[in-house]
Amino acid sequence: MSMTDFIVWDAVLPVLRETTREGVIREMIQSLHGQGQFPNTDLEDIVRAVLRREQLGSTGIGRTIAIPHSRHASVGKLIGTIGIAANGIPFESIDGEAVHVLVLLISPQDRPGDHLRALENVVQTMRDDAVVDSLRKATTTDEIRRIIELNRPKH
Amino acid sequence: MAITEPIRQSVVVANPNGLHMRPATRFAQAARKFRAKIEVIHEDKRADGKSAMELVFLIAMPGAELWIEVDGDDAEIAVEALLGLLADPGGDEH
Repeated sequence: MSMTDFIVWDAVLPVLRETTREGVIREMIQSLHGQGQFPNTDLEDIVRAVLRREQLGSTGIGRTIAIPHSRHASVGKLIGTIGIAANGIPFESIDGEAVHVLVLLISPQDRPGDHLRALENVVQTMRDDAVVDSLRKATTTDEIRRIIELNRPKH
Repeated sequence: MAITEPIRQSVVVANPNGLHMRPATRFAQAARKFRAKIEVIHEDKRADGKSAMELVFLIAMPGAELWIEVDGDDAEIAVEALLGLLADPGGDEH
């Protein structure tokens, strides 16, 4: 599995408008919805699920990266989107740093393996600080996509 | 200084979602409290037990057999504490 398999590219947000943890999570979920994901679903239910997960422990994994995620019955396969926050979002990350690169993942209830592989893939893709840095500076979806594709982990 | 042999024990992942970010974080936080070197092995992959991300990279599904290898003067209490974490299904929120 690679990030290109589950990122909904038309939902990627190179310039996040919101400035809070809750705000950017909602913005990214709305962006996926705008691309036809989660039909007939109360978006706030997904937002609540992701925020509930954040309350159990921040998904800010350090190095300015956060991977907010949840399982939700409204998806049949794992999907995700990317958001870039040039100014940084306070996220209670493990290293205390503000978050600039967000990858939001929503997975089906019954596919824990896909979720683990997606997490691994995101972290492996961003293993190099230079990759995180170039994502932070990216201003278009095309740039983000190129960076992700160039740094696809070799398995 | 006493010379110790590493302790090696196997454990089956009980979490119904496998060793995902939260149980991995709990394990790494607990592991960091010990002086001993702690490694977790799944098939041909080996992770530093004090790094949540390396543990996620093991892709350990529910029911997977892991080995914990602990080396240091507090290895015995470390093994006891850490085996319990992996054998714990994790409650309602997993």
